[in-house]
Amino acid sequence: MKNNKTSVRCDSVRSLNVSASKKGGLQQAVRNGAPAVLGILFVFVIWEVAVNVTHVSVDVLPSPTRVFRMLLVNRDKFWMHLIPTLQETLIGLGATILVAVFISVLCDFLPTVRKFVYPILVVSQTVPVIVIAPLMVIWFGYGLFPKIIVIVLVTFFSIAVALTDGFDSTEPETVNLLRSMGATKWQQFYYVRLPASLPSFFTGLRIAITWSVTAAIFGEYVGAERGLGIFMQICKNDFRTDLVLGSVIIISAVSLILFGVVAILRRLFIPWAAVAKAGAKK
Amino acid sequence: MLEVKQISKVFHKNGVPFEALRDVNLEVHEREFVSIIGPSGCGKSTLFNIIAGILPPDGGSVMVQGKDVTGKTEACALMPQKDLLFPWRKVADNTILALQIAGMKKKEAREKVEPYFSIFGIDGTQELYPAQLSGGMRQRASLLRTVVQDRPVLLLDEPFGALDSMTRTELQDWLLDIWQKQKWTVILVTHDIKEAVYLSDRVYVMTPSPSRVQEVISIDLPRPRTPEITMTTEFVKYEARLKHAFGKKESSEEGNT
Repeated sequence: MKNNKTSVRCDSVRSLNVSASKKGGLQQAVRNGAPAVLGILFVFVIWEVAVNVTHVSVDVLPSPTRVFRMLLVNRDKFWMHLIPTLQETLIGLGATILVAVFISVLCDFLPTVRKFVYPILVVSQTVPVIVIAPLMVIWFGYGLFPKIIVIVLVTFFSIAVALTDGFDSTEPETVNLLRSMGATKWQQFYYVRLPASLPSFFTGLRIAITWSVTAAIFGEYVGAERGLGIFMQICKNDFRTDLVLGSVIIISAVSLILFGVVAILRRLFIPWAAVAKAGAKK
Repeated sequence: MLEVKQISKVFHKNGVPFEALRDVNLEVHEREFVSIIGPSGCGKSTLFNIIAGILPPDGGSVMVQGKDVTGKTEACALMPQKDLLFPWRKVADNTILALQIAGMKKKEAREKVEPYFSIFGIDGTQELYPAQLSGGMRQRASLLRTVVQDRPVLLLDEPFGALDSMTRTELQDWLLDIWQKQKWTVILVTHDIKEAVYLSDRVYVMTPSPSRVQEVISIDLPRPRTPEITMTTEFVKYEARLKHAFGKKESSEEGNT
């Protein structure tokens, strides 16, 4: 009896989701987002209560209300350090996409190049960022450039692999069909391999975007003039745990927003994916 | 119209030669419907790819309208077994794919295919995505994509093989009807004996590898045919004859082919 009820509920939720996707994602977004927001609120409440009950020192663990109050009080300072971090993240991600697209397209057209490049790609992933980031500071100083390199190194693999997989998802029968139509190699790429790779590309981008924020912070942490990473470092040394945690909250918020932007871009660029998914469910 | 002369093809798998086709001869007249049947793995697809010009033969030639088109893709339009409609293109945009590849502007190509949609019984699906269509509808769109290429010969590679039997019967009736009106030159590969008799003017029966033409059977049933014809004794006789030629092995599979 109990099982019956749940399964009925699941079905109705699914059909609601489908109708919501037709109306536009807003309703659906609220419905999907609500549990997440409640969950986070719950954690904050527990945290607040724990701090008040145990009277732990503010240097060790400040209450969330204090963290948010300090965020507000120091908003100019946070803003000043947020801008370079955002800049690095977006420029780094842009550079990653350019490099990844260039390399994976090259590998797609020239299998010989692929044999040479692929091992290098894999090896590049085994080098720990913890080592690379300080080296970048030694080689290139405290500016933007070393951060971009760190971000590209961290994120580029996920996009390159996603693109390569996407290109390869084309079936041999499809290639035969296109050849029978007289399509050149370039036309096969443009009409099939490229659009076929888009869903996979966005999956890679979703991973890359969260990593690129982390990589930017890390790049700053080992040496920068401004940015949330170096700001956290300074605050930590001053025992300003509240400001460190405030930075963490900002970083999380930025990551979430960028994640959302990718989801919106995905909808814009591949409107057929939702249709194909609904069709597959039928 | 189309002449396949002395085609042979040998594949090398891990250095071991495998003779797929040996001296295959085949002839199709203008506006004729010809079927090729044979057991699985008898090299039907290989022969098809050679006729389509996407696989070079080791020997022999393919002539269309007196012109040597061996290894050239210009003469034939291919309809694959799976519909292979691209999920990212609307149905109408899928049907114009070959036209765009040939360099036609999108708008012009859309105008060209538009009248076909009602002829093919899929009017109203132009702006839908393939995922929103049933399997039968998708095959119709797939045939439309093949037909609009205006090539002299249509090659249909087991186009109904992946459909459920109800849809398959429906589409066979539909193809019979539309072919009798349009009179394209068609080569159909199938392993469905009934389908071959029902649709064809002549049927080529192939042997297992190395594949060659075992027998050519003319289906002298009157045209235009209707679904009722499958119940006549004539029809059943042709079916029996093909089944016999096809070999006893395949007759046990008859229920699901």
